[in-house]
Amino acid sequence: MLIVTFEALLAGFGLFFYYVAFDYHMNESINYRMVFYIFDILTLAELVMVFLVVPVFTAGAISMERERQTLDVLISTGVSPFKLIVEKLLSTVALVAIMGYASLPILAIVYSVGGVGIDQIIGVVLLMIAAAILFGSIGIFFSTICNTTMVAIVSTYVTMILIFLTTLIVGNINAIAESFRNRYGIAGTLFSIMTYAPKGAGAYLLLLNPIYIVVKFFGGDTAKEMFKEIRDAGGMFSNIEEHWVLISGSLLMLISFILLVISAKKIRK
Amino acid sequence: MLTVENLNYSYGSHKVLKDLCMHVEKGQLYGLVGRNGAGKTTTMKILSGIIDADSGRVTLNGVDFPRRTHLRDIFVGHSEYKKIGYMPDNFGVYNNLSALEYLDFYAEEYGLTGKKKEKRIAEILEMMNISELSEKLVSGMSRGMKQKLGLARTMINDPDLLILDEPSSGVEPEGQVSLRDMLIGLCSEGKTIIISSHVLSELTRLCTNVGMLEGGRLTFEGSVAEVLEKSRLNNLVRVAFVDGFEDGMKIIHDSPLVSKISFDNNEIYFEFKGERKEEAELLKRLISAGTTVSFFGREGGSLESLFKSVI
Repeated sequence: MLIVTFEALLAGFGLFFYYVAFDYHMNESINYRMVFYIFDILTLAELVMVFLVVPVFTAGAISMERERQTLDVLISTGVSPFKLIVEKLLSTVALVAIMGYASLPILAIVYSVGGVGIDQIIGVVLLMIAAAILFGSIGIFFSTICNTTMVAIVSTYVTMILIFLTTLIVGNINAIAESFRNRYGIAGTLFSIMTYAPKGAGAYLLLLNPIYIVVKFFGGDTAKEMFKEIRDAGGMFSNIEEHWVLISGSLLMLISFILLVISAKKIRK
Repeated sequence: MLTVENLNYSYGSHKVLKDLCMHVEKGQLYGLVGRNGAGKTTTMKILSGIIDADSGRVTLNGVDFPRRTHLRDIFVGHSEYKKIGYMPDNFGVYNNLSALEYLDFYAEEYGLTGKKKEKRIAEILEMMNISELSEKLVSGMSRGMKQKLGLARTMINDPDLLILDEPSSGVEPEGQVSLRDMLIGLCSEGKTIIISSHVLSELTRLCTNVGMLEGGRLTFEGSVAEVLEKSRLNNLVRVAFVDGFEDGMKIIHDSPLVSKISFDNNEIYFEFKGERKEEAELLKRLISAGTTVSFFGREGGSLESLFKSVI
């Protein structure tokens, strides 16, 4: 039911923007820029869906077993806690993979008019799976340490939003401080201190922000703008910017793995 | 088979188990008794590997059970725990599964696969007499059926040791009889069972050995016969005289093993520190003195009276 609803929504988005792009008079010109936007919007829609759905499934993975009083029996079977945790995560990741696979025909709307390669189409599905692993790991972590499912779900969402916002703000503190000073003429000590942070240093924090991977994946003007400071810092930061998806993706997967190990350790309270 | 040495466990600042030592031999049906909060469930959870003791040692068939928070155990698990089948007091079930699917799931968790798994599930359903329930959803089962299914799940891996926390709790009388017969049958096949129950009379009928948990330790551990004898010795001796009451009273009063004497009509009640041999000697002295005794003896021992004397 979830997959059907998801695909129906996605198809609705896709067909709407397809209609707008191609205009209903088939003999008129095609707005190719709009076609590319369709791909970006559909990908974003899928990632938002993953963001909304995955925590609900994973944040209840362990806490619901505890609430249902089935966890003790599971543990007593001698199964390794890590295997138990990973099985819980994989069941949700599999669902996301199916959703991604089922969305391929819809993404193919854009592929059919060119401009988006098959590697990008596959990249979307991989991005969804990686996002599911990251969000799922956070969900499972809170599911293990929280006493109730509701608290685990809320904690997961709050943590993810905090990660997005905190890394975004602190990682771009230079630019934000400059903007405030230029716009409002604020010359307080705090802002002065902020602008003394080494250029590009925010990259270290931004590597932890999944949004930047998505933006890098899309490329385009938005990506150029968002990565400008890092690129301009030169040296090592240029290398980081060039291999952003690989470095940030690896870092986030490592964090996911660490969270899963901690969850496995904490599963027996 | 199972040896527990100096097990300690605390919930926060409250120490539940204090240097608990316990020994269960192969083939025993061992009853663990104690009042609420004595540590029975905690002990069973430690033995099943659900929680780690703060300190102490547990060995099964000579093999040490490691702490399950070791990194190796987190990734690999520990096969020793697969030799134990555990059924908690209140256990949840997956209501959307049928009995067959439920057993299939746990069989997979224990590592059974393919034809071996199917064969074992069929055997277990037959053994537990619940074959007709195989397609029935767990949500539609009575408490007694769920207990049987839980026991079936506990047995799925053919464990050496079964740990059952209040298995007859909430089960109707007919189900309790069936469960009792099943447990006795399992013991006769060489399984070792540790069971806890609040129904002490049931444990007396069912168990071969008993351990009484109080204050975080076993205050008593032994065979049921030893328990009953120990309990019997705590009971008052009653002597009923047909005649020679006065002489009998004097003999009883003069015995150094007697204390707290009371009497009613021609009957004398007293505490007696001696055992069966000393009881026989006292009776012999009473008869030699010319008294006619219509009754001499103690009330039979019971787990309840021993339990009451301990708490």
